[in-house]
Amino acid sequence: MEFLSPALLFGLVAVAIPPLLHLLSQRTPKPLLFPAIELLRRAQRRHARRTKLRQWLLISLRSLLLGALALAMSRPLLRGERTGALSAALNGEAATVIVVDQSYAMSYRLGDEQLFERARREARRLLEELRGPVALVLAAPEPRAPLSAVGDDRATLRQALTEAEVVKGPGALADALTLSYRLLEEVPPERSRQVIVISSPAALAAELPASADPKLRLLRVDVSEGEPLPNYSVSGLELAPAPQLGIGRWQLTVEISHWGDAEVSKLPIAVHIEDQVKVRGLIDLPAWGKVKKSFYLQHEGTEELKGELRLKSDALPLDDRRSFWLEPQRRLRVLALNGDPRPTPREDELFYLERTLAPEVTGGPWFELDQLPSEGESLDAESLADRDVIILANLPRVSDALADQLSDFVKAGGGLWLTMGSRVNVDQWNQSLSSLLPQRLRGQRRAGDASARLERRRAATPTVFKGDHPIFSPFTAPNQSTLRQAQIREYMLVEPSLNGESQHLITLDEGAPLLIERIVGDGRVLLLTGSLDQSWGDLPLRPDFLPFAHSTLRHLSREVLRPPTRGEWGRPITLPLLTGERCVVHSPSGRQRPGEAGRLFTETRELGHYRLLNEEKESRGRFVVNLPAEGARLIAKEQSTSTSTPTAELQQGGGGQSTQELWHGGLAALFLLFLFEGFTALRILESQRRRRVES
Amino acid sequence: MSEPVSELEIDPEALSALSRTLGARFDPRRLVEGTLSGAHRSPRQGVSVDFAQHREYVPGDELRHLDWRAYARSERYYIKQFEEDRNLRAWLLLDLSGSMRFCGGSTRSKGAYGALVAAGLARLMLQQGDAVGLRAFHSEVCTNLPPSTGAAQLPRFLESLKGSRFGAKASVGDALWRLGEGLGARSVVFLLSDAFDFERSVAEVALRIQGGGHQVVLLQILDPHEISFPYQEMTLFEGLEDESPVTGDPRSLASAYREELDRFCETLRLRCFEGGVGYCQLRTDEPLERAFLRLLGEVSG
Repeated sequence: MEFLSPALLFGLVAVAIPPLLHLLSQRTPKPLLFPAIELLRRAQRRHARRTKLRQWLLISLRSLLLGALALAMSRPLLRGERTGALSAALNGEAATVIVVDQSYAMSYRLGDEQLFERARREARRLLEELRGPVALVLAAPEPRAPLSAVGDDRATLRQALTEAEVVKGPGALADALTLSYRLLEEVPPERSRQVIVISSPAALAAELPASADPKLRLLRVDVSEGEPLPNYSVSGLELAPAPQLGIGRWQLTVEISHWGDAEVSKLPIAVHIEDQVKVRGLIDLPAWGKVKKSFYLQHEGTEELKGELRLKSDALPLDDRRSFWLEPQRRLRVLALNGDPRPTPREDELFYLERTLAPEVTGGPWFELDQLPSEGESLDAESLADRDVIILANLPRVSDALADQLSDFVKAGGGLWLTMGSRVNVDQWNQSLSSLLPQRLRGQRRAGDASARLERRRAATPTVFKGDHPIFSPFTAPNQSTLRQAQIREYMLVEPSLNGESQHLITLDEGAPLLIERIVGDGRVLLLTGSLDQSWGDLPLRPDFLPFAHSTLRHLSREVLRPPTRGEWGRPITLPLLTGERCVVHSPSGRQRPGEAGRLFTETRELGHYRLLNEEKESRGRFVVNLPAEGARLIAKEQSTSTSTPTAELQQGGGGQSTQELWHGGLAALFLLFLFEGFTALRILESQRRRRVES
Repeated sequence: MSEPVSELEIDPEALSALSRTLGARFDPRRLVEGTLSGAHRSPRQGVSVDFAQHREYVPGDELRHLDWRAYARSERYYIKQFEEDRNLRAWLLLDLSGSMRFCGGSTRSKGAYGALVAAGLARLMLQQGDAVGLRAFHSEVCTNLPPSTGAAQLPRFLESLKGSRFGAKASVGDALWRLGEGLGARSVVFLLSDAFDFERSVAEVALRIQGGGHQVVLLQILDPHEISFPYQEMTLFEGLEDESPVTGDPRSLASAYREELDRFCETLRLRCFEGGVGYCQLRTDEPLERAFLRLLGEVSG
């Protein structure tokens, strides 16, 4: 007989409590003077025997009750003889490697026991029962063999098993099997060889690497013993700015996967920011399905915040949460080079853009617009430092030095917005900005039929919008916005794109593009073939120009371009640092490790939020490490049809043994004892009461 | 064991009040007869104004006792018989053995309560001109006040009570056996005791005294805790007369003990009934007036 929770057998000590209490209560009788002592003596003589008998019966029943409770809670298990392939494997003298899955999925709790505890127990039993030489491989992300060769040192293996714990990492059965095959290579060829893998059903059902030796037997032992292992987990998380909802808004989209036959309804889900619940919700999970849910978060501060999505914990709580950083909405620093400055504000090239980005319009100082009158000469380093977007507005020419500066700027992730006007020197632009222009400029064109009488016939209107582009996220239907009503009288014609690097975001009804995008390095370039002032059209006068300008600048800013860095447990990560930058990585537990741009960071064995700080303790970036989603599946839907290799056999339930849990019987005995104890105690009380009434 | 009985707060005023309440109705002879339930009527008919009964005339009877009115009605001869009318002589025998010191569920010990009952009885009987005497005893007689009438007898009686001391180990039966021999002329004997003598039954001794021509009334005085046995914790029970102690769990012993006590008291009552000895059980938590009313049979139940 075995016990699934042997630690609870200590509860058997409680058997001694009733007799001890009885004896302790008898130890120090209180003296009392009493006259009718002879009557008392007679009463004692007459009734002592019967009373004592009843008392001890009651005490025995209570002791049995406690003993049965302890036994039932320790869940006794009766195992029969092993059957099937494992029985054959045990009977031979084969060299064996036992592989024990240590992945986080093995921390799944069945009752009050982890799957890993079952695996450990099964491995111990195998160590006892196997006759031939044996080795052990612990299947963590970096598989480990306590002994470097197959041998008879079972004590070391038992010790390694005792010390082994579940790791918070994904499974690595394939690597563990490769290691096992290597260990068995040193076994003399005349001896038969086998590998016994102890893991969860889904891991065993996966395709495992086969050995080069066709005679090698691969046995899979399912520690679930056929019990269902339903599980749900956070399988995906995306955080994106939601400027259409306002400055500082983020859209958090999560994906929850469910592996189980029964639907889960009203599962609590919550978003925690800095350990405080910010948003709650309930979701319904279909059987064997996935559900996506979006949350909208607001962060108006300037510091990044630790965020975590949490589901109500199930039997495998590790995969029920996922970390993320909630970034502050950055204040975009925009530098506009004005090629057509005017003393009268309304006539200035940047008059409308300046009004559009003013704090009283945006609800806060979210844009910092610096203007420089320019004829296209190069910029000093200070002017370029920490810029997110540079605008060339109706610049007559671009010097080579400025073009080089802009090229470096864009390739490093900056945003460049080129807008046209009558001052633009097409040839010079095409020459100096050839590496940045989305399409080469051809020349200025007057829209419509110049001889037409009606004004509207002498203008083009934007008609085709690339609606799924982030620039148009503020609009539910961009072609129904007031941008559609803009009258573009003149615009810059462009040469056809030959290399396909550019895409047209807005096209005029005349077929010419109004807004073109090109990705260069880590940055983006946008070309507006119209002007930012009223000289070529009334686009800046349209009400929807305001959200359009905001989303365009945010799209161009390097912050949005760069996706947040995310890591998975135990896997190396590229730190989000600029070239040549060094920092200290602070792990969630406070451990510090050096980090460097361009070098992989490998110390990712803690789940949660990591910070990168430079020597001045300034934040240089951050990232999160989560569990990989794929390990959360414990049971295959098509479990009944195992995908094992021809030489592999799946053993269900305690490695091919018939098992019978006895604790149900223990509980039944407990119940009967409880009834009997109550009945006996009641009878004693009743007889005492009756005598009292009679007397 | 020279502890005095009282602390005997025998308040003369309380006795007077008792006498005022019961005085008109209190008749020790009736008490005796009532308690005997008619088993032994006084055999002596004498010259008195109190009519006793009629009986058929037989030759030799004095003619002056013939009831001529009865003859006129029935034409048959009947003799009128009258009860002897003379002063009552009463002994109050108060048990002051160690067990009477017990004071469990009441403010008074059994001895003190017995003394109070004795004082009450004495007050009532002396008020009616009867002679009252006192003998308090444990292993031997510790107080002896011969019966006497008159107003001076009550103070003497109370003084004697107050001067009495409890004894230690004593066999009530043996002491009464000796004491019963010196009671003199026919008397009503009130025996106030818990009757806890398991070697020589107090009932047997009472019968022996009754056999000497006295009328005996046994007033068994018990403490409420002796009756209800309300103890809970494991207890070492020690006797008040040097008996060997008994250790036990009162909760498990209670019912058996109460059975034993019931059996003991029932046996005592039956023996008294059979021998014509009056018997009444008193509880020390019972108010004196109520106890007397019950004693007189005026309290039902």
